[in-house]
Amino acid sequence: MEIIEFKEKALPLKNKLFRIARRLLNSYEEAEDALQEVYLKLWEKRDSFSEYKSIEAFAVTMIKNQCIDFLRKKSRTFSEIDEESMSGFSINPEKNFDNREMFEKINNIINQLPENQKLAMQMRDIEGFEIKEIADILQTSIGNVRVILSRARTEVRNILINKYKFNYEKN
Amino acid sequence: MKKIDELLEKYFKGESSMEEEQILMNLLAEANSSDKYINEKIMFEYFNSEKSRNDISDDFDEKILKAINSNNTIRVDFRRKLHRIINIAAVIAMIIGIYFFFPYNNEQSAQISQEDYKGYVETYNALAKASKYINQVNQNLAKLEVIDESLEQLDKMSYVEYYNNYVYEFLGE
Repeated sequence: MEIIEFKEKALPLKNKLFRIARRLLNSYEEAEDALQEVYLKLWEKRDSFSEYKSIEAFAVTMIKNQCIDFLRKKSRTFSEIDEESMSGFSINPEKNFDNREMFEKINNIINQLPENQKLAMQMRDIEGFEIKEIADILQTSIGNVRVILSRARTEVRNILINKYKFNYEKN
Repeated sequence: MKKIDELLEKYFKGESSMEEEQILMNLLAEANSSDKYINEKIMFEYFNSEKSRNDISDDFDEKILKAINSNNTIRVDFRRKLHRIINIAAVIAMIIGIYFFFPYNNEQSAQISQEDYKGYVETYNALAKASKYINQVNQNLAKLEVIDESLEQLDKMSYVEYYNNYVYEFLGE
């Protein structure tokens, strides 16, 4: 594969890969660094692209591994919901609330989920991957992906409902 | 409403298909912001907004292509170095061969036995073959270098696109 083909096949994936990296790293700069690393690795492995069913799945697996390695090096943990980061969360149903503010809150809730949950949710609900593709990337079964997705979605909704009710009753 | 409830149940169990999730998104988009589906509605609106979020830096492609080009240059440099090392090694091998096996004066030449002379001829022939082989390798490496240089020139064509963009920006298009 030469540079023109690489530009056509690999570079258009950059936004999707970047969103996944940012979801995992929760940092714009670190996500861009991880993406650059992955693109250089992809270039080095360009001759073995044909061995993979999909360049996209291959690239997503690489960005996932790159980010997880990065996180392990930094010894970060996201396994528990950080209540402090949820402070300031309020919706008043009687007011015409600002969607951007709500999106920011949902973004924070998802960022606080365990790695596999936020990754599965990002890949399915935002990037539109098939369950089988997610199972391959996460190296788990289809059944397990469904369980992971169920937990992630339910957790996001529960936090929204609990906080929503709290603020509604308070007001 | 029954349809939304059914689809939501499947969705939160992780059992919905892509098509069902699309239908759910459309149904929720039509739902009123003040009804009981407010949380689900805002979740799907959030997902939708994230899908089109492309805020990676504009010069990302340029950075990657530059880094890739510099990697190629490193490869070319390595070949050039290898070429040079093989040339030097060939010259050293020839000098050593000449030093040890060439009869450098008549007196010594007279003292060389028939057997020594036969050994000298065989060694000389072997070194001549080795030299020929090294020259062939060098010629092939020289061809590779020409290909690399050509590819490098072709890669530079990609910058035409960037320069075009700059021109468009400058012209305010």
